[in-house]
Amino acid sequence: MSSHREAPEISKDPVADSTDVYAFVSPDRPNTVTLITNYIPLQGPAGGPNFYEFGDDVLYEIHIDNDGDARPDITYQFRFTTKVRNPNTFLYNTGPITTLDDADWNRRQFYSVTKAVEGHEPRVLASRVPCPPCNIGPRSTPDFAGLANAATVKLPSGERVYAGQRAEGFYVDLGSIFDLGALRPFQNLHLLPLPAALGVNATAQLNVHTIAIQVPITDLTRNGRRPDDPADTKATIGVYASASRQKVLIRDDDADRGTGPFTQVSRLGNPLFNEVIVPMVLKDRWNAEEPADDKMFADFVRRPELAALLPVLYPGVFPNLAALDADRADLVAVLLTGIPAGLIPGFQSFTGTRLADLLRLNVAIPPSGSPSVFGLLGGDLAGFPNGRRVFDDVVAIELRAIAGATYPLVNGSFTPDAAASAVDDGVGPGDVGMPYLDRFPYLGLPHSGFDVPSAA
Amino acid sequence: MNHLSRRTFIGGAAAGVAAVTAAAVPGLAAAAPSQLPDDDLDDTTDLAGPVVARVRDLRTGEITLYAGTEEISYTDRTLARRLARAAAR
Repeated sequence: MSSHREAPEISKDPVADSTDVYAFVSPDRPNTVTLITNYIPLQGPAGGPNFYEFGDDVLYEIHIDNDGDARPDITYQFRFTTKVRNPNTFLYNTGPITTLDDADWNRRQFYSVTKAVEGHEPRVLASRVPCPPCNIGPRSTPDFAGLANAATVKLPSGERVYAGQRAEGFYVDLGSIFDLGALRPFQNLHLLPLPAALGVNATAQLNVHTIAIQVPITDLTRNGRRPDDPADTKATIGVYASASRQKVLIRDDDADRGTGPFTQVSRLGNPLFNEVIVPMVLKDRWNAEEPADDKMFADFVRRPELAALLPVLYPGVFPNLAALDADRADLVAVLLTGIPAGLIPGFQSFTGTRLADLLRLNVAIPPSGSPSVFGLLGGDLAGFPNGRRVFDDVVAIELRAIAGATYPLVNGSFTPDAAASAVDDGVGPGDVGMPYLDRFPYLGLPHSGFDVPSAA
Repeated sequence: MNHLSRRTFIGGAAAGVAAVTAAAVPGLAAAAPSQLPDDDLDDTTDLAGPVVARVRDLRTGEITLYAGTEEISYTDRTLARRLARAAAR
């Protein structure tokens, strides 16, 4: 998974488990960047009566580095508060929820948005912003789209925000990939072969909880300008999200109480970094570290385990990859420093030599009129790893990169195996259960518990 | 203030370092820190939330206090020993 349940300890703490981070120049408002971070992985839509919600005791943050030191220059903080109307019922709602302040909705959640800029006092942009309910079904949430629209709010400071349930937009053949690295379309070539088959999107009927904020580009860049030259060294921002909990938890009789400073328990920049690159025994430590300290994990990027596994799992399919005995400077560039100018015509995302897992977005690259889900590998400069859009096929892109497709960027004498540009888990954006939106917050409306799973 | 990772914290606790909730220890409220004279205590002070004292090193008296969203390093050998004794009851 992109970062769903990717580390042993955080997998037991789903409300703080960041699953995906997206950052892209908004296609319908190209003077803004949309930043999205998702939590609570693998939600079965029917999961009542205590439906999913953010953690009141979790500090959710989206960080932006705009000066290349891999440390946050701007941070948007989100804190949640849950309110129960009727303490005498076990029900989430006692009638149809038709508005965000409906008296029949018993358990509501609100949030605050705070902007912290390095060197300045944090500023509360909004408080008591309502979340929508979970999408329960036609009786409880007869017009969920209306509720979601009402919960999409433009703040007086100019940002748009949404926090609440959405359909999972990340697609992956989870069941196959974690069955010894099998890719169904190519599993006839696997060490333990089965007939080739179509991929299966394991997340097609699942929801997540989304925090989305759309911000003017001029609020994010180092010089407060909207660059139009991709070569501009100030055009690239680095993004990551984190979730933090207070160090001490006291379970009192009447309530749990936290005390002490917030400490990071989950983070996410590039998809699959912690999942696929970092060894299991270090995954929770990685979650607790800052990107600026990622040098300690760099060797796992230079010599990724998966690159060594592919030729073993698919005998004879990756001979050139098997023979490649060199540090993967291409992966270091893609994941840890950004791609320097001169490697891809018209593009760079280099933020300096400090090694840090950040989702780097060159905001001078306009949205693509004909996007490729394969992003840069598909010739689309507006897609991953130039930021990440909700529909980008990050599994295929990273599989292909690790298989050697990007190594010629740093060594022109290397010829990737033919399979490197074809390897795929066989699922795409068409396999997502709810369609993406062409407007904020871009992820589809969540599946309803009444409809999913279905009787069919 | 020391920066301690979550894992360091959990590891320290698991290693048997005494960590007690100050307000939960009988008699602790009356036990003034050794280097503070009694008249420095303000009996009108209200705790906004729980204060947790973690004795890191009984020998040196190193104590970490968790209060609000702060983590404060504090050294008091006498208090550290009193806490350890109270926790051992």
